[in-house]
Amino acid sequence: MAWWILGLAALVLVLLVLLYNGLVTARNRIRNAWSQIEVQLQRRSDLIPDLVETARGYMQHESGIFDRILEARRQATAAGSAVPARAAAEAALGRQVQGLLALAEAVPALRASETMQTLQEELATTENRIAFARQFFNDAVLDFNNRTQTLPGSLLAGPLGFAPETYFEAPAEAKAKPVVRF
Amino acid sequence: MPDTAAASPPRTTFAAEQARRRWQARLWGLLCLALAAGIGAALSTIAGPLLLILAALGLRLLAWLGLAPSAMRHALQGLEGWIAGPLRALDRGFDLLEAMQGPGDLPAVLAGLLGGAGLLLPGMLAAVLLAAGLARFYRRSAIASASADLAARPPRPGDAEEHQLGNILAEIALAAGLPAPRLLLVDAPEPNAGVFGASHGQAAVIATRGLLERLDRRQTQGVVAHLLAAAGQGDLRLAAAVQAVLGTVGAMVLVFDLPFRRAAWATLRDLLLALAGRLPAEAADRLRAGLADSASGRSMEAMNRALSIADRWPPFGALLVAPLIPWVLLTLAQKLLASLWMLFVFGWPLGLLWRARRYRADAGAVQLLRDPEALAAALRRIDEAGLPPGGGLQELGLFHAPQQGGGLEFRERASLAFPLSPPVQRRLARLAALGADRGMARSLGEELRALRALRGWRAALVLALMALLLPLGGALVVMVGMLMLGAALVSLMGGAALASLVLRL
Repeated sequence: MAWWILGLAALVLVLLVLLYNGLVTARNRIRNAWSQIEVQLQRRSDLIPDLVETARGYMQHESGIFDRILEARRQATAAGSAVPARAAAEAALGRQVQGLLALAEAVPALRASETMQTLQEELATTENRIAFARQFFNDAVLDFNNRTQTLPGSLLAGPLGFAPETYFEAPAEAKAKPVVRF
Repeated sequence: MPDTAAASPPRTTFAAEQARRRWQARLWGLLCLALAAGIGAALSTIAGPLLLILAALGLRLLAWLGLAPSAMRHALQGLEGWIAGPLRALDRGFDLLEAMQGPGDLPAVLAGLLGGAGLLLPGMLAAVLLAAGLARFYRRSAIASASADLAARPPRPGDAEEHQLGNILAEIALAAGLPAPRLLLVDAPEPNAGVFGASHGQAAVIATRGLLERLDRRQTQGVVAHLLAAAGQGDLRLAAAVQAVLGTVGAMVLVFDLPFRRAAWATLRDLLLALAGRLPAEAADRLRAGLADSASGRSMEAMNRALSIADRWPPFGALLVAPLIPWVLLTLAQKLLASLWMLFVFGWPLGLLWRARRYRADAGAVQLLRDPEALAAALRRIDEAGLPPGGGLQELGLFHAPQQGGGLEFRERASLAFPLSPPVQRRLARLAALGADRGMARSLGEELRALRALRGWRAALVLALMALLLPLGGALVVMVGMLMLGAALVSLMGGAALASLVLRL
């Protein structure tokens, strides 16, 4: 009889350990995914001075957009690691960059410049990387939140302090596609 | 008027499609494993007793040389004691076989013969170890071997298109949560790409210049997503395992070639070097070809040439060849088993397994990109280009492996009689079910309906062809079955003879 109880207790203990390890692994995956997003956001941030320098020479009459883009970049850097604030600031920066690229399309000399073509490919890949890193991050958050909010994980998540994580989402006004007129 | 809504396949999600294909792949994988175990057991009827004889001879030699003679004698006695049980069972089985009156006695005979199955154990164990060693070698040499075979080179630093492909690789790797694979390029006009490597963590994507020139950025993303999804799902390890199983079958019949073929010795040397981790990766292709040769008809031709000395020097030649006759019989039986198995038995489930994996990787690519149309457009574009057939086992890594052409290649690549890649139409149909444009995709149901809709002389022609092919196919299956059964029986007798030799040593 005692052996049965002991065996059952050991089994429960093993299951608890597995459950806990699963939760920690899921949370670490989110951390890792977040650091990937930050790397890619930094990459975009580093590209912007080059973009501004290249475009400024061809577009003196449009100096307003350069100030706005650099201001957006400063705000995005200042937003730090709080997910909702950072997501909103980065979305604003992304809109400014798209706006500049749309304006640049209208300047044939700039469009033909080799530096600009390289920059455009780099910006395109960086936007894709941000999007894919965000997708991976959000999948990781979904997995973690499912684990913490469904049985049996929900029994363990509360007492051990596993709070639900936030998705990396652009705020509502950023979801509307920018309208570009040529 | 065809009903287009009814003709289009029902919508599904990438998660459901992946789960379905995973189960299919598991099923076919299990069947492949069972068939591999079956051929392993059949070939072990000779390899098992042979290994026992070698072990006994080795122990005797060591004792004779004075190396711990008492320990060697102990080991020898232990070996003999272990062999005696299965040998007695085998003897009883053969006695029962001789005394058999009718089919009612069959269970007892089979039970007796199965009692001797312990003799297969050394051969089976050696085969498993060999397969594991070969799989390890093929995994490690995958990138170097594929890039040597395809003459791949690293990307040129200044080239904008190659730089873009590198960017795409990094993007999709982020989506898949994998480290970015290495990029290599092949200067070939055909648009294609493949993934090779030891595992998802150490992979290389090899793309042709034709792919860069014909596909736009979005389509290239589709191709890369398929390759990385495949790598993430474990296709690289599986490809190495498949090559290892095929290689092990070749290695088990290689022994028979040693007296007749000088190339067999070279292959044996390569094999031993590979197992020791000393064979350069560039020689992996040579090893693969050598092992495939020993399990194909080509090695039998070499044996015929060697035996023709009996005709050339009438009295002495015949005397020389006569003692080899039992060996030649065993060789024929084992080679027949191995080559029939590769041609008619293993290729089919292997093809189904690999096709299920391709569909699964397609669904995985849709999960990564959330853009089924990118992959569908790439498939259409590559299909238009009309790839030349061929590619051997390197095909296991390719995005789109062209369908087999005429009968010549069928013979040359006897190990893979079944196409490894699904037809483009079917892949497009599945992608349409995942949300891609229908385009020219036709599902299996539509093809069957189209066949049914045939009228008049065309329907009669199809029916006549089928009526002709069905009995032919049936006869083929029966013939192959009889041949394999006969070969297995000869092997069993030979194995038993060898085994009794063990006891007399």
